[in-house]
Amino acid sequence: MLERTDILDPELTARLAGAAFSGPPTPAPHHGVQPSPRRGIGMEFAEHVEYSAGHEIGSIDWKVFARSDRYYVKQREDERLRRVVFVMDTSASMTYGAASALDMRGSKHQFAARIVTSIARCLVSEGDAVGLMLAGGEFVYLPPSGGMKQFEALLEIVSGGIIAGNCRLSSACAEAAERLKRNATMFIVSDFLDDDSGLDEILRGMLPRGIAPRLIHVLHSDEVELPQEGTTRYIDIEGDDSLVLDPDLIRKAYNEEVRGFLREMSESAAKSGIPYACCETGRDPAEALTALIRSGGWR
Amino acid sequence: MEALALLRPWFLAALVAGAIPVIIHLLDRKRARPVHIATLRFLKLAHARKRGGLRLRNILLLLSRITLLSCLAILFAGPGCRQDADITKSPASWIFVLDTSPSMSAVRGGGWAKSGRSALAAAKDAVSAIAAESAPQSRFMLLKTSEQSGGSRPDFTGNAAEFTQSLKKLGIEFGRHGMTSAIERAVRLAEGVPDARIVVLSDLQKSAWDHGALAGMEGARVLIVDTGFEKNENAWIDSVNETASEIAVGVKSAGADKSIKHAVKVRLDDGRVMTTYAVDGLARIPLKRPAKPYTGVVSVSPGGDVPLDDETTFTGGEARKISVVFVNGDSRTPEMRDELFFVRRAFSPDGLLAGEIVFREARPADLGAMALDGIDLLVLANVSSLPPRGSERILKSVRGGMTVLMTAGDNWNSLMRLSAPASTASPEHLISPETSIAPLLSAPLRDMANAGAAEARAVDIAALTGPMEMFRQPESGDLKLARIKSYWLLNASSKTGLDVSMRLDNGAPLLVERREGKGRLMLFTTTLDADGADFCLQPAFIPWLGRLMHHASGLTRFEGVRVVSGRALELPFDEPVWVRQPDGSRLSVAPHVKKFTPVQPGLYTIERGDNEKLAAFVTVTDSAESDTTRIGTDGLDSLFGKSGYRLIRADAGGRIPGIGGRQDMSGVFAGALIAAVLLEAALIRPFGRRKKAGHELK
Repeated sequence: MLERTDILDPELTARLAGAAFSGPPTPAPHHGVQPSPRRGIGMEFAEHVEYSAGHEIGSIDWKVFARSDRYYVKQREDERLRRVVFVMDTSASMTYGAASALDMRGSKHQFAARIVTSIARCLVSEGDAVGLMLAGGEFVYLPPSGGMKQFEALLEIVSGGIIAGNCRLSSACAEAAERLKRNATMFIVSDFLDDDSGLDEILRGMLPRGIAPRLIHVLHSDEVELPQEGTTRYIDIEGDDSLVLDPDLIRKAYNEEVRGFLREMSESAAKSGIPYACCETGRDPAEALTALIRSGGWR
Repeated sequence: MEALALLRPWFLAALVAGAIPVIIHLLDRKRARPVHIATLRFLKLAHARKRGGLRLRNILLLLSRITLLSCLAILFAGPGCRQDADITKSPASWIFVLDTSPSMSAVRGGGWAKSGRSALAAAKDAVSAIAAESAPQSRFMLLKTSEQSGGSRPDFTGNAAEFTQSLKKLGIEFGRHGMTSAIERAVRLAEGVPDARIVVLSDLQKSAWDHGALAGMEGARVLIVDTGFEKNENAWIDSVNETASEIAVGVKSAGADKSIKHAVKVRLDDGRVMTTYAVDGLARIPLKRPAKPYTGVVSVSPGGDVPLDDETTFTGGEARKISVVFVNGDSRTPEMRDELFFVRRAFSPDGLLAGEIVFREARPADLGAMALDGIDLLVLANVSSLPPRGSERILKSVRGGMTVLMTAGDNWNSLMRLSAPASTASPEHLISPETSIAPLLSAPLRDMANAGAAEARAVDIAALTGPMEMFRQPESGDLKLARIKSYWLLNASSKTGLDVSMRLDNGAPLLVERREGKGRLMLFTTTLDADGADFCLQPAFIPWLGRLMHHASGLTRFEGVRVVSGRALELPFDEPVWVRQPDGSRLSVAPHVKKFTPVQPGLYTIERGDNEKLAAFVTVTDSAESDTTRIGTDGLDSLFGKSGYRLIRADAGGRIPGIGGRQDMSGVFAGALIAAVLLEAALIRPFGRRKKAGHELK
């Protein structure tokens, strides 16, 4: 469990707002201020794109068809509210670094919660709709909506969520995409330690539906450095498996394995065209998150 | 055969500590700190990559820790090994012949070093080591090499504890020493003793061993332990001779670098200190003699291995003139053949001895009525007859302190018994005892040898002793050039207390003296003139004559006398006296003790009961002890035969390789311990600790 003060980070919020969501808050919270790169159902024409499965029949430009005998769909500036859903990994592995089983301060979950609330606060301030799905010990879904009440609800869920069990991120992402239907941004915040081979495919399948996934990889600095000394019994948080060894003797090899994993994650995301940011506790995540938000723009 | 020898074997119980690393390893696994981690995936992958190296490292670490603890336990136990384990099992009878001569005081360390242990200390350590490790029923006998320790019984016999205790009291003994006689005693003691082992411990000083072949050594097997220095170096004060104008100090060296210059320092009891360097073994120190008899200390530096001979005390006479009366028995002319021609030349106002001696001449006929009081020396040169009761008067004066020096001459030929065969070895007197001069002879005459010019004899320089010792140095006067054509042989064995200070190269005595009361009778067995010898024509004649006069006049008070330790001395006192020894102790001596043997080196004073000082003399260690030249294996072979002995050398730790003694092995185990520590340091985690301990399960 976390207090609201544990997960609100005004400084990070301010830096993210300054970088990606500049400008004063809109007086009409149902309209976004930023011109969205998303193409949708607005009034202003933007471009033609070739028709493909998923496009509405009504959006086909028949005049162009008459001239070229090919189906093109009119893309217009989408002037609707942005819809953003955060999929948070709340599996047991996110408790790593917690002060105790009941106090999640210092854990990866707290770090992830800070990131989610900071981005969400920026979006809400600009009149966008934010939603939340917890993927872990319990299933919680908060549909996207705007306003401070929505943000308060999001805070409530994040701070009170049960952090336990395993996580099937691929299932959670698929469920979220199903509920969103189309045209949304999905922030997936996780340590990606679960062996979830189907996630990559699910994420690639969202793109034609206008759902843009963005990966935020949360790591605890101890997971990278392995600072323990002396003979240690390592116990898997998500299972009963354990291993006794002297970390001093394998630290170098361990570091190499972790770095290899991070590199693999980054390369895989880039290959799929999915923005990716790695945030490590103990380090300022603002820069990585700013780059993530700016990359590819909003859809 | 070697066996482990531990000083504190009960510490071996601590060897079980070697199991501690194994226990710690097992406990460590059970008590491993639990840490929850998000995934074991990377740990397993890393562990799989390092598994082989880790296993080897763990084995090495375990071994190093077991070695470390085991070595620590063994080091506490005092590890060592015995060279000869048999001596601990079967009892034996050990007969140790221990060289206690002064040369054994040489300080171990060699060269000019003054630190470390003496050769005797090393020998005692070696013997103690055997005693400590021998079987409980072993018996020990100790034979010292001092001639005072002679006899059929050992100087000590007992068990190991008593033997070790007696060794502690053992020290250097002055006086005469004989290695061969001690070894013969040991062999006789070993006869009939089962399992007897004879061990000789010595510095192998040549002069102590070189006393002829050993007797009764058939079948005997002796172990000789060399505790001396392989490279010996020593310098010592060989002689101190005082003349009217200087002190001549003879310095000798053995084995030392000949280029080393020896400084000689003389400290007189009046506070004067004089220093000079010895040149060619002789240091001449000009001296203005004090008005009273005095003592001084001479030291040589550097003194080499044996510290005892680096310093010696000497006594000197007061600056007074000697009263000498020469009685010339030769009345012939011309004067050139006169007995006293050369003597007169020496004592004339422009002579070399002018001023030192009050010189008078007299005829034999004058001796009947001449007053003899105050005369230090009466020289009877070629005198064959004395006035009636002349000899009685002279003898009375001699007993009161005067010295008579008789020199031979052709007048004695008339006294020869023609009936006695000249060549016989019969002890028959050639000069009748009834002859007036006979009572004044030091020893009866046995024969007259007349070799002729072609077969003339020379003086044996090496045999010069007592007052003539200084002429061993050619710089003092080269007596080697003198040739003696005719001389008298003595029946020396019929008289006791004879001191021979000069001999011919065939061993015949040339200058002898015998104490008579407080004075002494001296005899020069050839002529003072050129008839029988060419002494008077030699350049050394004047120094020799001066030395002879000085000695003859000073002996009555003992000043200037240097006695070799262990040699008997006659004390000419007709009243009970006390002899104060160098260590301050006093010995009571009865009148006319014929044999007083001083042992301690240093200054002896003879006192009356009321502490009045009557005389003084100095006892010095035998120069032979200072000559540390060693007997080689050739010399030992000739003594024992090649199979009769085994020679080994004591090591620096006082252990005798091959027959017991404990060799300290702490170094070996300390080395293993250090190696284990280094291995441990190399295997354990790198230096520096991380500050964070990770997230423990709470």
